[in-house]
Amino acid sequence: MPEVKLVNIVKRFGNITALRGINLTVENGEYVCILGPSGCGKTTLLRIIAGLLKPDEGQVYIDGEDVTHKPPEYRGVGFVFQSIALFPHMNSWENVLYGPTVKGLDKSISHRIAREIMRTLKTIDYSGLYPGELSGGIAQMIAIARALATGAKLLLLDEPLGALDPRIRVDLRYELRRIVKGLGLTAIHVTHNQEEALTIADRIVVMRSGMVEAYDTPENLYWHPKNLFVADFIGKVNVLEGFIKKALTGGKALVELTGGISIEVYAKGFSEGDKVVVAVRPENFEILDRSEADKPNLLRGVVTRARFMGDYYRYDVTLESGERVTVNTPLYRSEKIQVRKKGEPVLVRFDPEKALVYAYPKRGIERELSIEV
Amino acid sequence: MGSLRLVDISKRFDRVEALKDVDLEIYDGEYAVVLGPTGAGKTTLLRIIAGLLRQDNGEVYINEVQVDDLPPEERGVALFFQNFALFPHMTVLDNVAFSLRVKGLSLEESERKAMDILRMVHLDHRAYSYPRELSGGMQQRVALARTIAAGVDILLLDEPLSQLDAKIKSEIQYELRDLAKSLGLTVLHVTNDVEEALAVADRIAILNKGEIVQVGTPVEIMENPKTAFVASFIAEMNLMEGVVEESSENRVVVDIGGGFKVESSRNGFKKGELVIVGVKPSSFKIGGDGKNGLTGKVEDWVFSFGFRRVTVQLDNGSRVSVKTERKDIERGSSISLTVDPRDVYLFPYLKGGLRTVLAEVSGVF
Ligand SMILES: Nc1ncnc2c1ncn2[C@@H]1O[C@H](COP(=O)(O)OP(=O)(O)O)[C@@H](O)[C@H]1O
Ligand SMILES: Nc1ncnc2c1ncn2[C@@H]1O[C@H](COP(=O)(O)OP(=O)(O)O)[C@@H](O)[C@H]1O
Ligand SMILES: [Mg+2]
Ligand SMILES: [Mg+2]
Repeated sequence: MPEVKLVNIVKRFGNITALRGINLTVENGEYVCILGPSGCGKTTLLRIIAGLLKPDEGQVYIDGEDVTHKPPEYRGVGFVFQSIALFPHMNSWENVLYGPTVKGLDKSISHRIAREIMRTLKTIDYSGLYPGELSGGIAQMIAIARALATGAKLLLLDEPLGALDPRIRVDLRYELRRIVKGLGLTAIHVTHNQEEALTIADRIVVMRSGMVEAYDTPENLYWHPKNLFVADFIGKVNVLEGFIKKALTGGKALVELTGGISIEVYAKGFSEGDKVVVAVRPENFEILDRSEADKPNLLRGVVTRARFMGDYYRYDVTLESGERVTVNTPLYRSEKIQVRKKGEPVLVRFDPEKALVYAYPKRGIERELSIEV
Repeated sequence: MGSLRLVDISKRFDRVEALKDVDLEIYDGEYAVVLGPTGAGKTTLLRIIAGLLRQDNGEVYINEVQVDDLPPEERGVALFFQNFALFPHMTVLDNVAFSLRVKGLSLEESERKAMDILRMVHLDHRAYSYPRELSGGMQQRVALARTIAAGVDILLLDEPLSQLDAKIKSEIQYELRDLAKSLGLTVLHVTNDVEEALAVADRIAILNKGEIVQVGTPVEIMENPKTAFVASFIAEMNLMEGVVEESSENRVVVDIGGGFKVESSRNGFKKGELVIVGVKPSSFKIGGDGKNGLTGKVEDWVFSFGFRRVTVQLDNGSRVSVKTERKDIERGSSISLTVDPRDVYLFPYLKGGLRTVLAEVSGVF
């Protein structure tokens, strides 16, 4: 059963260093997403795992065996690309059958494998159709069936849902996870879509400029991102600037924001006077009437944009400090929520435990959040 | 000034009926979105309005003037192409200024205006780059700027944000709407992305297989989808088949099999009728003793932005997803759910049942 281990992988293309020393272990049976902006090296890394590309330095281990210099066929991997790469002159059934057949398996065995995989992936009804006759979603499922029919237990997926309609993408990601878990496969899935990574992966690798910025579970990346870049890359954060005014008990501290307002946050390892940034996700802000001014951590502002987004209202609020924040108010928390209008004065509030606090980045916030290092 | 009225537009390509009797009115200054899956007929519709394609039937009115016999350049609309092409040998600034030069503005004047528009799409810092030096998303913003530079009152935008990374898109979409509003433009924007539609639209028309199936404001559409297709296309919605067991004013009880009955406060369904029941993942409550108790087993859960999406295999065999902020849901454990009858949607049954609806939405299952 496949476990994948990468040790200090470096890859250069001319004077571009696409990968700068990647260390990573994917456990057997794990679904891992590689998430990062375009150009950060995701495809290069996946191709190195597959054996389609050789690293300049470092080793690839699959199940403890060093396969760095072994060809792709040897590695037991199935590869699925964004652009659906089915053989156009073969129907779905023949496409799926291709892998077991070229492996030289007995005809009856090949047929059994193809049939089982297509049943599991609920694509058997499309056996007789040619790629040109399939919708994008089905065609991609056939491509996955074809990859699995080779007997691969390690599935490598490069933006597999990228070319599909957004609505189909959502359905297929749950389906993909279900297939991988149901068959006990290991999957490494590359995407630049945050929500896709969060909702499909057991663990997510966040990459930037050829390096791993973080590797953790979706929940940890969301609630405890280790730096401001990761916090902002996994969904958006609103960044407020300030300094530590006073240490409080219980791991809390009082931060004075640029606008002069003091707020309570959880912050460890800082001294009084340290410059910090307080990051709060849009869905972790609450909007209150100006009359509810007796609660802590209140910021005054005015709604500058209000949009109904189906599951939530999205507000842009310009604070008295001049900073602009985004607030998402989910509709499921209460049955009737008060809808705010553009121009309405409001208070914005957050729980101390939902704020993330980081030392003020040395190179400034904009550079810190930039997708280039 | 820019209003747009489509009357009974139909278009057929060989075997495909790309548009069927499309009626749609867009008011002066309105931001309208036609939302539908790939293949619904969105591009065909825009090409007909722009005058690049002739409809088989029906009329196009722009500012209440029938334009069917006018060539594209005389219709007063600018089309942003889904497969746009920039001039590769011109800088970003020249690409945008070109539309202005063609209209007879001086070089200096057109460059100044082009720069203003580039600022609006956050690309003024790349004005002197060439298209090939930009990412796909940036190139798309240049093409958008060029469309705006055409200086007409009506913009037709064909999936203008499709090339952007999710993160940039979630910012730009709101700005696109603000920009159109501040310039007083009338916009018809087509997309297959619901979130994008909600972010920009005053009104949304849902197009499926060449037919407009529902028109309304974002709130109207999201809160009252008329068919199971619309409901399932615009949001994740759990759909189940059932038979109406009782029906009275504001109370319909549906048997969904396995001994489960769900009550809905909707009207208009008769006893014995087959229906499709819809419940949003966020409408289920876990535990509790509310109405409409359902039981099952937790198959899996995944995390999303601050909540969990739990897949439950119900004891009647169907599978539903449940959105919750609770963190104590274990895989494999038993679970009981309730849902307020006001949150239970009912839709007319379709030939072929649920399978047909799901196949239309996602092309799978
Ligand atoms: N075959 C190649 N030749 C030259 N440069 C390449 C090649 N493949 C990738 N690169 C460069 O390596 C970097 C990482 O690319 P890639 O792995 O495709 O990123 P991602 O998949 O994250 O978008 C980019 O700067 C890209 O231009
Ligand atoms: N020039 C054409 N010739 C034949 N069929 C076409 C042509 N243009 C569009 N179609 C068909 O018409 C339908 C609608 O296409 P289109 O308007 O491009 O949809 P959308 O933009 O919503 O994806 C599709 O089934 C498509 O294959
Ligand atoms: Mg790539
Ligand atoms: Mg189109």
